[in-house]
Amino acid sequence: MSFLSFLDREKSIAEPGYSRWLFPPSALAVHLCIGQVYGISVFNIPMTKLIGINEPIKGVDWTIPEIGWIFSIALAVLGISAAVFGKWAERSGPRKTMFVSAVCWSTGFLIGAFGIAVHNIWIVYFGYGIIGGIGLGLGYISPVSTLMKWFPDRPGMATGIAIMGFGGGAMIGSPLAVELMNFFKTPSSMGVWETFVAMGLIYFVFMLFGALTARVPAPDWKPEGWTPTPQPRKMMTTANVTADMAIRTPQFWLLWIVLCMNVTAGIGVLGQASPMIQEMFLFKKFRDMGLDEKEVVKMAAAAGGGFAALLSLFNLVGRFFWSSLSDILGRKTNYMIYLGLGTVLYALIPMTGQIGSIVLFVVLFAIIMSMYGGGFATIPAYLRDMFGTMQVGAIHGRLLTAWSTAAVLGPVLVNYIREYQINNGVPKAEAYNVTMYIMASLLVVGFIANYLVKEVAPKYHHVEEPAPQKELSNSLQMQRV
Amino acid sequence: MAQTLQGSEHKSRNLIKLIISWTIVGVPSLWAVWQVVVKTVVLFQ
Repeated sequence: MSFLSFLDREKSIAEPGYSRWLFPPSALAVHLCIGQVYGISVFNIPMTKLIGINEPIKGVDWTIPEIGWIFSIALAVLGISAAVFGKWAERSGPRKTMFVSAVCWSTGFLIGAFGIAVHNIWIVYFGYGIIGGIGLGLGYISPVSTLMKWFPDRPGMATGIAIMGFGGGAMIGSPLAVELMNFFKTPSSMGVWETFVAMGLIYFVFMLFGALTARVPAPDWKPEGWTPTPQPRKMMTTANVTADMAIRTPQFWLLWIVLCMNVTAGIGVLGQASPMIQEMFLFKKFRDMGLDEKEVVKMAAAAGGGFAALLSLFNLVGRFFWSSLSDILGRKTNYMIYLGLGTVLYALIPMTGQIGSIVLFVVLFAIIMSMYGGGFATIPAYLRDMFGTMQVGAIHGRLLTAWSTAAVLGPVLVNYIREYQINNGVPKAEAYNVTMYIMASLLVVGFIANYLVKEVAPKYHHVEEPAPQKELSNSLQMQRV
Repeated sequence: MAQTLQGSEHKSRNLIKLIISWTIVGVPSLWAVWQVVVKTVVLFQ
């Protein structure tokens, strides 16, 4: 389609004098929108009352587990689409990929809105989960690999900016959804499908801004005054490895385990943060204050929500802070910190319950969440160090299947372990202890995997083939001989 | 002289673009951070 040719990579090469600091807002515009997926739970309760309005009607209205699948499908498709379309995204450039991502993400909302309006959950799974999920995958990887090309001197910091945006997406999406639902709510409607339509359109415009302002650096471009060090740091290659070859290296799978373990542990407790603090501290605290039970539940829920919000903030700040620090410390050292210190901190959580220190509990979790975010944000730069920049977006896409796996594994582990313990008579406030020790042991597995990461063997490196013209002239010369 | 003028014009155009772009993504981000701060206050009250 020639009218869309302005989206081509060739048409988006930056002119001389273009400031590279113009690209991070383009990347953020996309990541701030697609990050909404982490705030989808804000629709959980309203979606259980679409027919009943005041109360859910059993057997007619959707249940929380049914609604929970929307998130799981979207995240699973994120990983799969990033893996499948990663090479296409690398070839097509950020502008086209971000544009397609905007179309998919927005269409996902619109189809989802239709599914909600006609009360058919399968349409919502297809719309938001699958079509939206494809938008998520494309939107996630494309700006990240381009940022590393714009900031070869500070790749950790650059990817930290974009991935921080993804963390912030839920912080914008959740209150925005609440405001919109309140606006559209009527006595006969929860205002959910209308909110989906509005968000789909708002996100499309925002992401379109990101896509249209996206530029790629010219192939020979480098930052002013920066010269690549001829002798790069240890664990930092100057060679390139293709995406197809990368998945044959042990390094790829070791990093897959590292990401999967770090995310499983983090995602597992992130979803449980609010009930955890309530059951471990807040119910007791408010009861001791002499409040009646109704008031206790209300206050605990509000404070629990505040705790979850605080963790989101640390998750967000950690993405920028830790990935920027990795430019100085090196990626492997950073992951040693995330996984090593993380293990200790997870193991210390039950102790905070025993000594009754809510402040220590909050501090430990804030650090854990910052490192969880840091783990996400540092991985693209780690991949770049291992496999070079040539197809780093596609390799990153394939690695994101670890995230999809963790998105299912984390909540399942936490929920089932907790249920099992409560069914066996463990008090609710202590039911999280075993979970914390299991999460700590997952991080130990990740720590070992990270420790085993070594430089990629030269046999996997991509060797540039001679240009066709050169080949032709060579063959002509041979014919003459 | 003409080159210097062209250079400074380019720089100021870049600056305007930078301000607009960062404002577009910055305003919703700050709003979100504010929402978190408001909610967090409840926790420590």
